Amino acid sequence: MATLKKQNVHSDLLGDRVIFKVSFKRTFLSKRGLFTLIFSLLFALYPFIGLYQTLFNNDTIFHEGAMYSFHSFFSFMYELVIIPLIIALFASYIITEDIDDKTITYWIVRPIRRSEIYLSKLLALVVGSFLIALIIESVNFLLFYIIAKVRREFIDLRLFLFHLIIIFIIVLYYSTATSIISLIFPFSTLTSILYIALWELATYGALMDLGAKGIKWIFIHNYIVQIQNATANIVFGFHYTIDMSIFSIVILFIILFTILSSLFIYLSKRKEYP
Amino acid sequence: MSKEEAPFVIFYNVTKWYKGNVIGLNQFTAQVSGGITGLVGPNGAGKSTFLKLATGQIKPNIGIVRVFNKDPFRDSSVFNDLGYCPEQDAFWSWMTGKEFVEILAKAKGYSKEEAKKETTRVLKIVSLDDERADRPIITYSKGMRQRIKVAQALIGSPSLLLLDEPFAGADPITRAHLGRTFEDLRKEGVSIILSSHVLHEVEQFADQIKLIYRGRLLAEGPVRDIRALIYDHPHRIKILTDSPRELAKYFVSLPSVKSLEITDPSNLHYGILWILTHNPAVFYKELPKVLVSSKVHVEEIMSVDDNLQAVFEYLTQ
Ligand SMILES: Nc1ncnc2c1ncn2[C@@H]1O[C@H](COP(=O)(O)OP(=O)(O)OP(=O)(O)O)[C@@H](O)[C@H]1O
Ligand SMILES: [Mg+2]
Repeated sequence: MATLKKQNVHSDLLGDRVIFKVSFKRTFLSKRGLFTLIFSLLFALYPFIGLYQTLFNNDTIFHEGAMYSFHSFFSFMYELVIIPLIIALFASYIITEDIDDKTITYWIVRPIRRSEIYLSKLLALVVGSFLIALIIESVNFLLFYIIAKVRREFIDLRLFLFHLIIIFIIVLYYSTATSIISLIFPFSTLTSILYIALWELATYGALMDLGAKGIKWIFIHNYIVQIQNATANIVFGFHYTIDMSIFSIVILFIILFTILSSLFIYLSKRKEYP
Repeated sequence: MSKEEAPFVIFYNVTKWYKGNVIGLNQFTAQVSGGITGLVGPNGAGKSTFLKLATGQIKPNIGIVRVFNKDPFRDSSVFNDLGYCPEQDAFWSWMTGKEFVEILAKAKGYSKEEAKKETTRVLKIVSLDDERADRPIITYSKGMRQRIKVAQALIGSPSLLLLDEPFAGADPITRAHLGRTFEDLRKEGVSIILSSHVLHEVEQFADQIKLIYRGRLLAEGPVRDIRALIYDHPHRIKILTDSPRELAKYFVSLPSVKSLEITDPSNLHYGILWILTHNPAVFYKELPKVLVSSKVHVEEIMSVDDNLQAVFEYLTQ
């Protein structure tokens, strides 16, 4: 049988790092990445207008205080809507694009496990989405921070940190969930439709406290909203009722993430590239 | 256990079908040992399917595929000692030739410095070790793209190379150069499997040919045997006529005719004259003249082995 070459001292980590780099570069350091970032930051016009009013009209739309306005605006607009959507779009891209243009072949024929190829891509998705979310949060928080400073309101910097943690959980969860969908349905239009359905479902699950109480627990946004409310309780001294302890919600997310990533690895091992 | 003789690639009763019931390979059994093996067959024969199965990009529906005694779909350690050149031109758009090879060297486990060295080495082999290596691949000509794809397959000096149509789109100079490269590699003990849709492209340097047609292994053996097989393959022509014996007399004397046979189905008005020829081109040229001079009524002329014949003619053109 073939003799193994000595110079091919194969290091898994090195190969993985290359896949991570190439996937990251092509997905996030591209026109697509830049465009998405700019598009998402358009929503930061809202605090920007608030800042303008504070500075020049001596008035503001944020009657409940700048920090609380940040909390409610960022919680709803970005954490429940924009960030999951961004992740879904990038997930479909990072998983299917090199299958579509067949560059995946070059990774398949290296001494790298299939699951590692996909875990590298998932990691690139998580890191990239988290960085974008971090930029979005920083820009928004900065605007509200300035408003609060100008109006001499109390500023609790823990708010930034708490939302960073929430973003991190959201990124982990949505990256794995949407990557799985992309692996199963490698058609971009279909995946996009599925993502949006998934995302809509999740949003309504969280928001429709009205009729869907009985099945509320199956929607992921329900738990995100609870963590957001817990944050408000800590930072603003509110008294929202939380169904579960934050600890168990985090444990729940970790379990979910583990199940999803195992499923992701399982699917990636069986994937063919005809 | 002889090291030289053990086959690198084993396909045992492999069937692969794609979505929509398109068959890629059909109960395919073959082995590849050392030297250069040419996979030859027309478009859609199953050459790429063979190479994709051997590189674990797809897995067989039925049967067993083994490379170095391992399953390439499950065991990626196979690729420590295997290089593959894909058929399609797939590149990351922003990369130069050098970056492309370097990144793939790193993916094979090379450190940064080692990858640089290895890149220089393989680019030299395919004669791309000049300023062109620093240009983006999207500006490359087809021949240069073929060469950069071969270069990445050579990373780590694997003992087995699987090359899918490495000559596609290459001009005669590039072709000759690549051919010499493969011959040199063989001298160093590298086994090569390469595919082509024409025999002459690979026959100068291939030790073994495997003829593939419609997902099946049609024939295999040394180039000379394959040539002989194709040449000896008789072409059968079926002539439906009311007086086959009469007509046969006119054909006996033709040099292009190898043998004649007559069948008289009792329930038919017409008899059948079977003609075997090794040279259908010449035969068909002579046929009208013979028919005219014989004055025998001919109902129908059919070429029975058209399919296969067309394949062979195509492969040897
Ligand atoms: N991804 C695919 N999906 C569906 N059918 C496929 C796919 N790839 C190949 N086929 C079919 O499988 C058969 C064998 O194709 P294959 O690509 O192996 O042929 P080939 O010998 O490489 O031909 P060519 O000379 O055109 O490259 C063909 O009928 C082809 O249509
Ligand atoms: Mg092909």
